[in-house]
Amino acid sequence: MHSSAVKAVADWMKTADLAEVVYRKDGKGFSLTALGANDPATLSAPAMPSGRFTPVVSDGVGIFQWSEPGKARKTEEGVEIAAGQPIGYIVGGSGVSKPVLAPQGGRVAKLFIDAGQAVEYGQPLLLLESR
Amino acid sequence: MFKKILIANRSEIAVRVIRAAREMGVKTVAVYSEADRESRHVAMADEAVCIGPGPSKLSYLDQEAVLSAAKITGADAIHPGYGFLSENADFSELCAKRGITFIGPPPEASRKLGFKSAGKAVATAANVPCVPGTKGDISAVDPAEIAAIGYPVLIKASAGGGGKGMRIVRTPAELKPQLEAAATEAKAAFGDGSVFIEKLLERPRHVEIQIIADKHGNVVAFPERDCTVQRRHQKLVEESPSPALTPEIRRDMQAAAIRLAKAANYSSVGTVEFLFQDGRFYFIEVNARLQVEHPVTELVAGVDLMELMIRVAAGEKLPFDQTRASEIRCHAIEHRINAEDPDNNFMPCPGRIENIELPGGAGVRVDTHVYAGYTIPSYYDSMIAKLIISAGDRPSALRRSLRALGELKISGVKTTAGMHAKVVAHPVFMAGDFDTHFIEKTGLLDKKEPANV
Repeated sequence: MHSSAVKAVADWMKTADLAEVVYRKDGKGFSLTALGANDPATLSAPAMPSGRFTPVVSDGVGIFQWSEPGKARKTEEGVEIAAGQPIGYIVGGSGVSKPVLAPQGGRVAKLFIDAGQAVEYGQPLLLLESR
Repeated sequence: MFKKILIANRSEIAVRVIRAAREMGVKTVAVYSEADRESRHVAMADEAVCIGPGPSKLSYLDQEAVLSAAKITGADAIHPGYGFLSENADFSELCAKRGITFIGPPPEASRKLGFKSAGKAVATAANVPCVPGTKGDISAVDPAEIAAIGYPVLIKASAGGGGKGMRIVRTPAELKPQLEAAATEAKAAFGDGSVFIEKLLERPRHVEIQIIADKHGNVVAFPERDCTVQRRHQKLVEESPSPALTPEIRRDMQAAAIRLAKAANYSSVGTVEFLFQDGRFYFIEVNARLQVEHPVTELVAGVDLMELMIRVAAGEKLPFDQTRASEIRCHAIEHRINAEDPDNNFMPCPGRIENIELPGGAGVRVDTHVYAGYTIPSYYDSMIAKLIISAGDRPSALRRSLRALGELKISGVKTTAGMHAKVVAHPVFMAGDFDTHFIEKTGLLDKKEPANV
């Protein structure tokens, strides 16, 4: 690999908030470690502080809806959700809908799903931000 | 023909269904548990849906999750593979209610044949020989009736299982005391002292007939599979044709299997299992599914059973008659390779397969879902591959088996491959004259010395 290509990766690395880049192809490659990467003082804060956001995931398979038919939608970005409150419903193959309950209270930070979308087990539906 | 088939299974059989469907131009949906994310069937299918966590009760056995996955993907048929929901008549009924074709026998037929006692009644009515025995439970002994069955006989607990309450009687004089002892034991173990008596087959072979029936009343039966080599009732090696059958017996067995299928209005593939001893065969049960060992028949008869199974489920007629089905085109052997430790009582060995080199060349087929770097989950069956060998005759097939088993190299987990080589190289196996007690009688798996082949 040409050194100019490595320099390009090194330059990109400075902008990407990465501590280490390892590249391997056909038995060759290189490894770049940012200066002071192991020094906590020089590390920037992680993009997502641990523990602040909790994903709410689907516990079943079916079609996702925000509310039961004829009821108003309550889950929007920015609204507060209480622990145990239904954030939406999953309609299974039998037509029976099952609520998805918030595992904890918090503010809805981000939605990953639209009404009428098919969801599988374990699929993230939204992100709750704890206070 | 179907547009899209959902496979309600995992492992090599899911891969097998996907391959057949792809050849037929039918789209596929894989379902998987969280523990099976890395399984090859997930990557191979056109679509994949995660249906639950690792334990099969919460994923592969969750009927609603499977049917919901079919609904959201628009699948119009479900292939159940073997195990899991494959012989669940309630599930196939539920599929029909939701407008989805269950690729398997109709629920009425599997109910008629699926349970041992019910299957025996249908067999008797269809004039299919069963193991001779008392009509039902007995309380008093009629020595003449037992003598007609022929000694030795076996006393079994009606509520039984696991060998409890079972007693062997070799002479008429032992009958009464043994019967009383068996009833007492059964009463203590199951709270029910009723027993029945069956003829004891001491040197049986396990021989089975593969059938396929369409929905228009046509049934054909293929050449037999001999699954006599077993360990604790688990089949280890299956071969076809059987070294013990004559063409006449084969024909009688095939005719009996066809009578049984017709009597139960069966459709789809199925296997009629028999015990075989001294030139006579006795019905045991029907497996109302496509079995693990089906490739043996595919090679011997030169057919694609998976494709045929899908076609008859879609309502097509069988494309050939019994004359074609009876053809024996080669000799075939299947080896089930399990991730188990032969030196530690065959304990399952889940873990990461560091590297795997599969055998190849003429007459070698490998059906598997694993690859180098794949981690075998601990939740499921330990079978990781099937090696299916075919050659012109039995001695050539055995030589080829040894060659292929030698080529198979797996590192990272322990497997039963070496044990298969021991079986194939054993003079008793080579001679073909053995029974279901082959493994115990030869003491083949007792010693820890490495396979010397």
